[in-house]
Amino acid sequence: LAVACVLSCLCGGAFSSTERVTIRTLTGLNADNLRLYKRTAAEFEAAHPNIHIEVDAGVDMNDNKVLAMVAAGVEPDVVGIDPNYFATYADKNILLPLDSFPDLNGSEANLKGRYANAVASYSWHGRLYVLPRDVSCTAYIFYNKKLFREAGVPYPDGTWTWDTHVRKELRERDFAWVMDQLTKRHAGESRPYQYAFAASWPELYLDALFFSSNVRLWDDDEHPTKLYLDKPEVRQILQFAADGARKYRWIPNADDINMGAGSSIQDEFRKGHIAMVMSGSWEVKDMRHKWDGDWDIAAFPRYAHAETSYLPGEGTGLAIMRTSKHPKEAWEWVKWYCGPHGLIPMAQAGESQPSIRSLAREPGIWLPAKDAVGRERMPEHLSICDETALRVKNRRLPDYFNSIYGDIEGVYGDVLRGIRPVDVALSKLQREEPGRLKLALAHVDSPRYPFWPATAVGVALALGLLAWIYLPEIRKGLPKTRMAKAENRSAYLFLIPWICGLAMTVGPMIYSLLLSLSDSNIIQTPRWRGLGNYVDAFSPAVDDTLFVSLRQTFLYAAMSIPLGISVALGLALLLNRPIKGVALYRAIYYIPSLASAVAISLVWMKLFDKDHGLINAILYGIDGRNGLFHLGPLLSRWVGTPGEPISWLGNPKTVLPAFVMMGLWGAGGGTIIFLAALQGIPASYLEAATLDGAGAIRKFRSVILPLLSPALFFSLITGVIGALQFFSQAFVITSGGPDRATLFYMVWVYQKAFQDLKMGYASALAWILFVIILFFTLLQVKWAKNWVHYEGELR
Amino acid sequence: VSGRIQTDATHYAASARRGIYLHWAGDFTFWIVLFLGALLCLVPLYEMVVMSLKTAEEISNTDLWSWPTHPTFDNYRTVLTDPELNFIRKMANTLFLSTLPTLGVVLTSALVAYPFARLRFVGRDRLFLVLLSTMMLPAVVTMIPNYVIFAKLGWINTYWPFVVPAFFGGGAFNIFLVRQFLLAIPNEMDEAARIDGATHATVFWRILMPNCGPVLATISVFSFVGGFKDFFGPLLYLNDPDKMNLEVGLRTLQNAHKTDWHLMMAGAVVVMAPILIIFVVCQRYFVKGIMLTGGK
Repeated sequence: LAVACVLSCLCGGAFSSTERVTIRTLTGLNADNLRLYKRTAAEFEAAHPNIHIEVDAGVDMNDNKVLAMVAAGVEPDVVGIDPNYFATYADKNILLPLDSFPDLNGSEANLKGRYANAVASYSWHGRLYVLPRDVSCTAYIFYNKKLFREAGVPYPDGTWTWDTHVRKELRERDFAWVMDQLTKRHAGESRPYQYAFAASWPELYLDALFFSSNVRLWDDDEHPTKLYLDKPEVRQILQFAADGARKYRWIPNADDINMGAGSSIQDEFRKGHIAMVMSGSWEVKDMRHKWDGDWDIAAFPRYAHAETSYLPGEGTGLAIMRTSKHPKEAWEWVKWYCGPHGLIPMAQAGESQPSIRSLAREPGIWLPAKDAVGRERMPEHLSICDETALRVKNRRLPDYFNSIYGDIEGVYGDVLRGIRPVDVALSKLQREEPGRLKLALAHVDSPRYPFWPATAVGVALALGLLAWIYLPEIRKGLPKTRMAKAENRSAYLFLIPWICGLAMTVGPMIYSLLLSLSDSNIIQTPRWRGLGNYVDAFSPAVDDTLFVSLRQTFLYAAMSIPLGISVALGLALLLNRPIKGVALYRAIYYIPSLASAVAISLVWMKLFDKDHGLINAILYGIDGRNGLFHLGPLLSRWVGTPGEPISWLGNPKTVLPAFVMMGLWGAGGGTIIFLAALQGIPASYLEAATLDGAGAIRKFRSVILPLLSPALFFSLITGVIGALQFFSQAFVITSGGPDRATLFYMVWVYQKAFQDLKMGYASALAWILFVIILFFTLLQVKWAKNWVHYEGELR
Repeated sequence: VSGRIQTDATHYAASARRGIYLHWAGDFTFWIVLFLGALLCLVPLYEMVVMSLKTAEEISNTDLWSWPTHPTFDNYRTVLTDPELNFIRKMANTLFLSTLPTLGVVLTSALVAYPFARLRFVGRDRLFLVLLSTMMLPAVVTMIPNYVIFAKLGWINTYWPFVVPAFFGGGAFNIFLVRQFLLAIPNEMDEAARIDGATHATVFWRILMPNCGPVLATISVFSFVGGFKDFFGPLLYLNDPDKMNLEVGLRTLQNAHKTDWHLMMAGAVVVMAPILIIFVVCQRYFVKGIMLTGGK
């Protein structure tokens, strides 16, 4: 009977699931990743004919696409999660706990066979939400064996340690001594031609120091309530890091070498300019692919005085959304993709280290096969990744702590760049941040958002807007004559498309205005904050960014708007000449606006590069000393780095002018507008002026300029809006630094909205900017009556 | 009616009458300035081409500005034939995503701009401020509610979010620009036509539109290039990688930790070619605008 029962159940199950179930998954956009993902999905579908895997693409983990999807209720069944962002999702109760599935220790999920710390980092209040896929320690040291031999330093064998000073007596067992030996200078020069060490990104080095020393900066990673930012140990470690970069110059300054958007440090390493580079396991494939040098890897040294020594790390895993309608089928896919079926091809492609330990340790999967040849055999000691993966600790900070952590990272970055000495930086942090933390903790309980009253207010706002538009007109009197009525009617007929679209524009605007009165993390229902967000923005004790950010944004606008408009206008006048070949030039001048944004950013970063950049080559000459009219050394003294070339994008004083120059490159758009406007100038006007004996300048001022004034007015209005909302390049190239000099208003708003998940606060900030822009626009509209000349005047 | 012919031609002719010699020096500086500026503008193009002709290894080991030792077209072949990148399909998507919205923008922005520039209607000046104000709130905070609206309409993973808004006036920027140009056209002609009994629609279509060549060409270029190079829109509103455009496609050659510069730049060169061609074709209209009607 029991057998029959089981059989019928099985058959029933099989029959009822003849309908094919679709599992929507969201994964990273990267082509290699997509290729692997789709291949694995195809194999899965072949094995599970009743399940279809729909592969959707987003950027990477934790991007705003997932947030938008969740907000709209169209989230996929399965998403990829990074351990460092896991807390953000786990905390909001949108992931399905996986411990309800019975086969957690089966051959696929194999929880016991996985790195225990990876599993732990995906658990929240004792429940598991994500099945780990790959793990990576990010503190591998890739070293150039040739440079070690040349310096007479034995290869690292894992016994080295670090302390906050050089310990000569330990020789190669002291990391600082090794760095000192590997730093090479030409006689009489302070800047080395060969640096000892660099991290893939500057924060990574500090992470490695703090993780491996196990010095705590706050009491509890998952719920920080106390900060220990100026403890003596913290001070010493930070001083050690700063000295390595500024005093001994073992490490290239962050602004020296991080120009190529992360890739150039590895390139400098491969060129032999840096002896050791710290990065994650993804680097292995790239090194094999791009370099036939002699290299190997070692683990970041342990701290001399710490018993437990952690390392920073990354990784990915898959989670099932709570809203999924087919959790069982989704789980089948999660197990497949994060189990041997998905992990073996991933590891064999050299992408990343599997989270199942036995796979990570078996040659021919992640470790090179025994019979591998050439570059595929590298690196010799890849097997250390098993031990380092065990030491990885992931930082799982709660949302309320994000902005404080951001402040801390920013100040540490300034220390490494030499913008602030350690003492000043730490006392600044210790003075400001505990208060902010206290406020952040105090905010946790706010009342429910009054949904219906808010809707009523929203409707009232829309009605108020209508009243503001039409009441004065009604009071003044509506059109009376038949002609006027007909004109009014046809005007509104012409406006129909815009009015349809307006609902789509004004709706979200009013929504964001209402949201600015709330605490909202996008995912959960907003909580009522009243005017609290606006009060916070204007209280420096809570957040002093508003004034800093506005100052930088206004400075940028004050430089870029007049320059941008005059260059565009000048170019238009030049390119308007009917000379043969000018058409080609018009196209050329528009190229910077057409070319790929990534290429443009890359070229700019290279033009402004401290050592190899074109601009510094002109200022300092090819030899890097004097150059044209000693301009370089003069500028260097002015910006406070005498004796060194200017680091344009790394110095708070020069970074704004650099951005203004970048902006000028895009003047082609404005030029087109002016070129078009020049076509509307009747030739007869110019002829008349010539007959009256007007010179070129006179003609420009009295004829051309007034006739161009409508286009100029347009450029001014949109220029102010564009400059005050300046965002993308600053976000991509400098992301706010150095010393908040490029924390333009929109960069700040974006960080608050999507990095700190404070959408309510971000909305309040956006509305503050709205009022500022509105003010300047109204001012210009008023002022326009004096100088803008319309041929077909407004009646 | 005196013909309103090309400004610069007469301007130049008039100048020429005043003395060739004086202009010789001016012309010389003119060409020098033009040439140097053009060089600066060509730097990114040079860089794109150079990187697209190098292997990954060469990019990594040589100077950024150096000419490749063994130029190779392999990167182009890879980009054009890679099944995951699906270049042809993505090019078709991209052309669709830039052409159709451009059509909508050109048609409807002129329609909407016309009453703002030429007609008297109730609430015009304040509605114009409303129009301007829709540009003032940063998109960062309206992105989520917009997405929610599109999701409720069932438009996610379709091309509707790109096409429909374009036909609703095409945004304040374009409407405002066309309005400014309409205002610069003297209104004697349409007054006369009105007296002769022409409707507003006739005035718009027969008298103003023919004079709008340059500005319509301008907004076509802006919206075509904008659609061609849109990254965040397709990334956000589309899910299926095969529905996305080339700009997103190129970004698939990059991830958090590394970038395949050689492939990315080869792709970027191929992507740039069609827009450059469109621009060269369109630019005749910025400078040879039809200015044969109207005038004083």
